[in-house]
Amino acid sequence: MLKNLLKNNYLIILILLAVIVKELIFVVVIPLWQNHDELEHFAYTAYLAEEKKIPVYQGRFENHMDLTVSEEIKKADELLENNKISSAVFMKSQLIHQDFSRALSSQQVKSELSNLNRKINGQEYKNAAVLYSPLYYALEAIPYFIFYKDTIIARAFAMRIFGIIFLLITVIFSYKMARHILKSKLGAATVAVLIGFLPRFSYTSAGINNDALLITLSTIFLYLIIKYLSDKITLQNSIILGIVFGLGLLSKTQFIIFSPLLAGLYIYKFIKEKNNKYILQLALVALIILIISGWWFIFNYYHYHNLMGFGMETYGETNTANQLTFVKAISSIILRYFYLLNSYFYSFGCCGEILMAPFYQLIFCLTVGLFFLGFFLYLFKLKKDQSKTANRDEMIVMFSSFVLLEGLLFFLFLKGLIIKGNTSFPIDGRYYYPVISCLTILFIISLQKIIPDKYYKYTYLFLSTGIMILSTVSLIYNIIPRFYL
Amino acid sequence: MPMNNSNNKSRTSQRDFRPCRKDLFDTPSSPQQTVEYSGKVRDKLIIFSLLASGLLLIVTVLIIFYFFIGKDQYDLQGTNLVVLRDVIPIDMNKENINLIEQRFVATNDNLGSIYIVVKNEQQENYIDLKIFSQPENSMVTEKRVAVPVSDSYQNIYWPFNPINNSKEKKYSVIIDPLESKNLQFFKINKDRYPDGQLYINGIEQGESLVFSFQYQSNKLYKILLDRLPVYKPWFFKYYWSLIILLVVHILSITILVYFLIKNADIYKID
Repeated sequence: MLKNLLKNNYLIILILLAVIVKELIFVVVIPLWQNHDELEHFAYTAYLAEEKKIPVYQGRFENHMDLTVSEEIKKADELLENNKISSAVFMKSQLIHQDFSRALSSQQVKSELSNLNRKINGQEYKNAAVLYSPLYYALEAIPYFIFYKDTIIARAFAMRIFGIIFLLITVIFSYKMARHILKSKLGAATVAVLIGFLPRFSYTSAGINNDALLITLSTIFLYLIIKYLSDKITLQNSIILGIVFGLGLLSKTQFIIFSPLLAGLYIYKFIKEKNNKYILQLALVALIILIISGWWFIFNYYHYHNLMGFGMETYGETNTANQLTFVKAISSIILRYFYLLNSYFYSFGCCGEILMAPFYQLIFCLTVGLFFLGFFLYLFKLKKDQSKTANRDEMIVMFSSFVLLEGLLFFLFLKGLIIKGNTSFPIDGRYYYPVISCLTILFIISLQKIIPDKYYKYTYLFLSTGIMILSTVSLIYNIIPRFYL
Repeated sequence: MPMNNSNNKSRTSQRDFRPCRKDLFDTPSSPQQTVEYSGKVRDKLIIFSLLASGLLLIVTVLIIFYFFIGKDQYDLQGTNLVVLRDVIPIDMNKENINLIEQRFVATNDNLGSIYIVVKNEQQENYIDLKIFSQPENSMVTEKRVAVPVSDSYQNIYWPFNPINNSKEKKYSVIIDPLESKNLQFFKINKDRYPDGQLYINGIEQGESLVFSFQYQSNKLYKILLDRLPVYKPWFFKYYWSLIILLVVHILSITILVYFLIKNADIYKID
């Protein structure tokens, strides 16, 4: 049985092994606290593990940077910042300023960090990550406990390594989704490789961040929706969908944006098959979601009088609204796509690096240009044969997932604009990783519309090999020099 | 008895097989190849492609190392624009300053360049920069530098021939403002340099000059091997763990490329 499993799935197994090795290198070379809000996410897990209860944000939310930490975490942060190997440098300036000569030896680090108090002050606890449910952090507490007797540095790296599991599950389900839609093993493998080796995604996945769980559960959910479009939805399938959606809500509440897809699936099935069982199943799914995630919303209401947790925006500045101009708002909407696409593919967000700066513009323009050209051709069916690609329903689901996510970001932009006069749009490409599987498959479908059928496999090989080389180059050319030279 | 056209051709031709070697585009050259393809030519192609890919990857890595990041790497040490919000200006005219001296101990060999933060808003000025070796007070190098006009803070960059055995030796950087007008340097209320002292007009100050220095080195691999294990847990603290990972990484993607190529052959899309 195992032999058959290996034989039938050897390609995806090889991809996963290669992704593990590559990701381990990313984990090692990126210094601690260098990933997005990594210290805050680590501090959440530390609180869960040390205090054995869910943290509650105390007092007014005033500053994103407010963070209550233990003596041990404070020392570890200072140690890296004082030696200019921490994120504090990037917040102050883009200038690189490293001083490795002052770094302590491993033995010194061990003696400085051991025996420090791990107790966290729950009475005055402040941490922006508390906005999220403890699901991801409870999972990350497993490696935390395994390395409990080791230094905080060992625990944090162990948590990073544990986080690779989320990346692997994302790759597996992206592969399954692509296999279902593209009906080609090589095409699906290409999608898996493109996702597993995308430089920015690799960078993001190497840190401690609950986005990893959100991305994983979104990918599983979207795969199930696409699969059930053409399959029969049994009672068991509905239970699985309900569990995935419930856990998704516990990863990050913005998972709720996918609810139209969930409801849409059952309504579509009901209309198509005229069977009342789908309405009953939808009710069952809703019940399961409530059972799994309902407690979190009650918890929020109990502590903050707000179902969604403590409200960050409520306490923001309100006197900037009169600085707002129409031009500012419109230019913000239009210009964001340039930054967004940059940071989705090749720029390494918080460390201010752009992959292969001399060649990057060319790669960037080619990627985006081909995507839009192919998508246009699909819409207008200029290349008639649609049999080897996604059908209309699958395309609608994939595109809707992107539109729903975009809608959420647009809503946040409008909310910021109206309440605070803030014209800054959420522009980091990593916000779109929950739908990375759909976007990558859409990219492949776009290419299929441009390239003649007989060249598909060469295109797939070119893309797979190219992204793996690009990922290696990004390590050597960007990430290692950025932090160590 | 006359033979028709088809009879002039071999059976292979009659069955619409082109008499050619099997090529990249899967044109079968014989019925045998269609029914049960031996795969020898294709395997050669796969091996060739694999070798080409591996070679391309290795060449790319080497090119990047030697042409992009292998040159004049340095270790930047000291204070620069990063901390500008905490600095105190040293106004050369108002305070009638004719000499600034900052002493420091170099922590590495190959001390090779200096950055000094300055503000010069009105006219182009010239200053003399000198480096003395301490305690013998012998001059190592000097240069007259132009300070251009700018509304914002700027770095005076002074590269010089690297001092080979600079490690753990004490040096002093001396700034002679000459006839400069409205020139501002900066100091900071922190001891930013190992065993460093700032002197203004020969009087020791409690602060440090805002400047930084670089140690030049072409031994990139040595720098990386020294630095990669810094603040890593025990399971990553040995540099060879990263080297092993890198080798396994190259191997794993090469093997993956091989199987993708092989798969492209088996699972035809067209």
